[in-house]
Amino acid sequence: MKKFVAVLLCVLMMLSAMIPAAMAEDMVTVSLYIPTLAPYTEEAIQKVQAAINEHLAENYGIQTKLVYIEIGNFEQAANLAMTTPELDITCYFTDGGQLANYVRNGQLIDLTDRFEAAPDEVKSVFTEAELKASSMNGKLYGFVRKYQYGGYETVVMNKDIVEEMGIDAASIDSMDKLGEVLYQVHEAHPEIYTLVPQSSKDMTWIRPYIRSVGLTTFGFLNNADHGELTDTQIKSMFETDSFRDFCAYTNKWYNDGLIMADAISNTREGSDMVTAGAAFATLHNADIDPLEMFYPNTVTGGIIVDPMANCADIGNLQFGISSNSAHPDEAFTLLCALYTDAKLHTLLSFGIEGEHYVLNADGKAEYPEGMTAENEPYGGFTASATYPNYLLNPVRATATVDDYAATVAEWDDSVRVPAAFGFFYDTSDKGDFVAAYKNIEEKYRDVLLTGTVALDDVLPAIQSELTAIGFYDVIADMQAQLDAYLAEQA
Amino acid sequence: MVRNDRVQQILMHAFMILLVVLCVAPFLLMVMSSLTEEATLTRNGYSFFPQVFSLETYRYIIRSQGTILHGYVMTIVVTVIGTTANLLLTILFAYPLSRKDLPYRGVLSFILFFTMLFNGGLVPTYMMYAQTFHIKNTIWALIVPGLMMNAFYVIMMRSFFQSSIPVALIEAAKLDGATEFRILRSVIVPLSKPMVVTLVLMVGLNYWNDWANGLYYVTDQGLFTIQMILNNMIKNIEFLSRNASSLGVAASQMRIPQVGIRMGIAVVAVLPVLVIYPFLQKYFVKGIVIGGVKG
Amino acid sequence: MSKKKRGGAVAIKPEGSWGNVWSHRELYLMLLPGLIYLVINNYLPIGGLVMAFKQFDYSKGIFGSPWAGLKNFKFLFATRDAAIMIRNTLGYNAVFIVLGTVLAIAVAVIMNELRNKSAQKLYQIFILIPYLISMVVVSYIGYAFLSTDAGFINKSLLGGQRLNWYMTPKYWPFILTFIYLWKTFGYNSIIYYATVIGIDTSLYEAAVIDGANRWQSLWHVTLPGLRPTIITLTLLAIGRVFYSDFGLFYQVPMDSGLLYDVTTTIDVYVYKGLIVLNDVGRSAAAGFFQSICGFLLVMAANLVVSKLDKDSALF
Repeated sequence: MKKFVAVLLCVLMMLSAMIPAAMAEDMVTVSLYIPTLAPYTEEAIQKVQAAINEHLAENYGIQTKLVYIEIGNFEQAANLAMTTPELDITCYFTDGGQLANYVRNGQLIDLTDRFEAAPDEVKSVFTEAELKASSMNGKLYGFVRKYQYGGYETVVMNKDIVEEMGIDAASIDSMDKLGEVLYQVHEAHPEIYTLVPQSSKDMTWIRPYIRSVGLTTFGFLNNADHGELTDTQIKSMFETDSFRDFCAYTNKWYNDGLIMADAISNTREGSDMVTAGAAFATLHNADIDPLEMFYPNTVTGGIIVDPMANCADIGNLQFGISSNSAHPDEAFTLLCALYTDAKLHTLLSFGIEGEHYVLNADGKAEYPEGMTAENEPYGGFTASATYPNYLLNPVRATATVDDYAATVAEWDDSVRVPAAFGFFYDTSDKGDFVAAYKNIEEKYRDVLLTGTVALDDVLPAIQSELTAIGFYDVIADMQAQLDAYLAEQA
Repeated sequence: MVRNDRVQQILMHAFMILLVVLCVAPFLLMVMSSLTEEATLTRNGYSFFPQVFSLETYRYIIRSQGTILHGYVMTIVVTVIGTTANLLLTILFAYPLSRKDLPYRGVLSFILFFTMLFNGGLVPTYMMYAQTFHIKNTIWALIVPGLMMNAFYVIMMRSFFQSSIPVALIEAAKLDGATEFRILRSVIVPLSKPMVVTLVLMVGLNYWNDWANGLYYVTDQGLFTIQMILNNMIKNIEFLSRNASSLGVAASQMRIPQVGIRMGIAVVAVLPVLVIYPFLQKYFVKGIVIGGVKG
Repeated sequence: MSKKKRGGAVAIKPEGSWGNVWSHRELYLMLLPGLIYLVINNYLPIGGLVMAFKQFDYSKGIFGSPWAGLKNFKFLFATRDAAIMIRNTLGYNAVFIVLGTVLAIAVAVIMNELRNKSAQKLYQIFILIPYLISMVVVSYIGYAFLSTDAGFINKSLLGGQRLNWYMTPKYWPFILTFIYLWKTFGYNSIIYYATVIGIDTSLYEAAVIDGANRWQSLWHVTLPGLRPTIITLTLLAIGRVFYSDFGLFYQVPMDSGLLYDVTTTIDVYVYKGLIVLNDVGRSAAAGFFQSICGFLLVMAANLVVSKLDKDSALF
């Protein structure tokens, strides 16, 4: 009997612990969910939150609650939190066409009218391309992260070998030239991998030569390495000329022993292997900052594919308001402030000056004395890529330019966009197809891009599988809509 | 006959030793990888006899994840509270079900069994725990959802009671005027030591290894357990290898932890269990009393 | 069910009578905490099963979302992989259940027979190790053994042969079965071991008096003693034959596209399809499909068991 009483007590204790502490505050508190990959401590977050709240109370009459979640768990945790009113503003990723899901699931508030009514100071932050990237069916669902977008394709090489063999890095500006160098290196250093995937089994992040259109994951256009992007004929990834060309190179290299044999079961970063001297080179994307800055003991080659971007690149990280938010108006106020208020944004992303970062004599930001990426307690300075408006922050001491905003604007202008830019294809009633397609793509994409298998050997099988899920009917429908869109634009 | 017996013993030992080698070798490889200098690991691959030893992995773990020690404390607290609560619920539920004279025993068993196959799914469970019980970022989030009672263990316990405890013993105790609670405490539980210890081990491992509750209900770093820290690292790796392009070059600042570190954290998560287990083992002894009652 | 007061028909208490229930009140009191937990943890959220038939809309909630009929189930059968993944899921589970049970019992019995108790304890610790290592880490270890260039097997066991393990489907049914057994046998054998040492010792004494040797008492005492446990565990495993260990089939083969024919199970397919869709309704539908199939199978199996051996049936 005693035991039973103990159990009852236990249950009661638990129930009482679950009753929430009453929150007595006059101002509305808006929660803000941010993904992070840097080490952080709860105390540091509380400290920064207190500083932000002081600023918010003075200027906007609202409060915020910062919720940091490890980036790998972020999507799942944020999606769960969006089922309840606990989440107000959240970051979300749209690289895999997720914006369509969020909209179909009714997770985000339509911001069109609020944005129309917002002051010019807010409107002027975004370019037309950026608004397009966070819109669907003509409605605005969030704000994109302000950052440089797109990138060019290059190659990261081991410095020792480049110097030893006298390789002219800058001259490597095509796959042909890269091939020549790889064969030379393979001859001289057969003991190491000549070319490894950029990360795990992903041959290269930017997927050179192929770009999906219409914010989908399955319709592709041909892309030129250099020059204009004019193709408007939608195809499967496997049937574009540029994919075929790329795979022809990698397949030959793979068969000749240039690419690591375990490319499709690799779990490491290519740059790590190049730095450590276990591999000679890896394909890599790059934008404004030189890659040598990130990877010691490496040399970066020339531009193999010119800078390019599509809608998904521009809006790959966005901030929006949950449809279950209890305070959408206050949330919108905070959201706008995050894009316009430099003091607020710097507090949020770098933390407290003097404690989490310092400004040096040039006015540039760096780690405080004795701190590094590993032990700075707030973590924002290390992982500043996931905050709303990168351009509001002070320039980092490591940056190669003085005026980051101007450089980014210049860069963004130089980035090529495909002819179908801005076109959106609604997949909300095609879930079965998208899931089936994903399984087929995953089956073949990496084995082909790494050159492990020759495209011609599996293309008939791919085509028959695509036919079986109705791929070509979907593509035909998409093409008709794209043609209509292009005609309207012209 | 005696000779034959010795041969049998030797063969059985040989078989067990073979299994032990199969189990330990990969673990050893894991430990060795965590002790190998990262550059050597990258260049030469995995080896039982690394060319260059390094404690850098463990230094890194202690230094950058100041939370590791704290994670241990959390893991232990959660495991102890959770296992105790689970065992109480399990034994209290299993004993009545093992009694063939209990009315509606079949219905109750079915209610229990049904939970093994059907559940409402993550979203409704989350909404209930988060909104009705406000469990987020409390220690209860790591103890209560899903883990505090498991139909599988209740059924195991029930089978054990049924097959190993003679009904006559219960009848005898009843004749002596003992209440059911008393019978459970002084007759059933002492006779079921092997199964109770087994369940302590299994439930304890479930709590020790759990990270899912943490992922769903905890964002406060002060509540992170060891397995959550390991899982966060692994999830981050998976995310980066899938979506790195969505972060742009900035992702280069957020690097995938190197192989040695992944292995090191796995070792850190496993070791305490190996230390604690031998202490549990002494309870794995035969219940001697059983025979006495009948004879 | 008639509600007879105490003192009505005291002599014959029908099983479900109020009197009979009342006389077991202490036992019901014991059940109470567990029942409360089951209601909260399992039965309150079970209304969520309707999501399998809904087009879930976050802003409308579970019950406000529009009905979708059976639409959510269609994606499971949208490709020709449907047959492959069901075959894989059921096939691997069948092999795992049979081999896993045999191995676990063998180890439990052998441990019980060993006379050197300190060696026995040592074995017990070591065979539990694989269970403690998470599947992702197992996949790294697997890679250390199977890597084409640097793998332990190619380099040390096959003398420098360059077998491409991750590209050759025919090896994987064996590799996956091996890893499954390796990871679980220690843990499962502990359950059987606890049952073995719980067997009434007087039965062994009686067998010895009857002149039985070791093998005979194993056959006539130990195995019959284990029978209820074997049946229970197998029945429970049958209920989960439509599920699979995601980590084993996804992470251990490194998600290699060339191995999909032998590694795609229902869970893996659903994961890959839904990670791009973030669709709560479809994932609920997949879970419902797995549960209901397992439920029907286990009900059938339980019916058979209760015909043969009433006490071992689950309910």
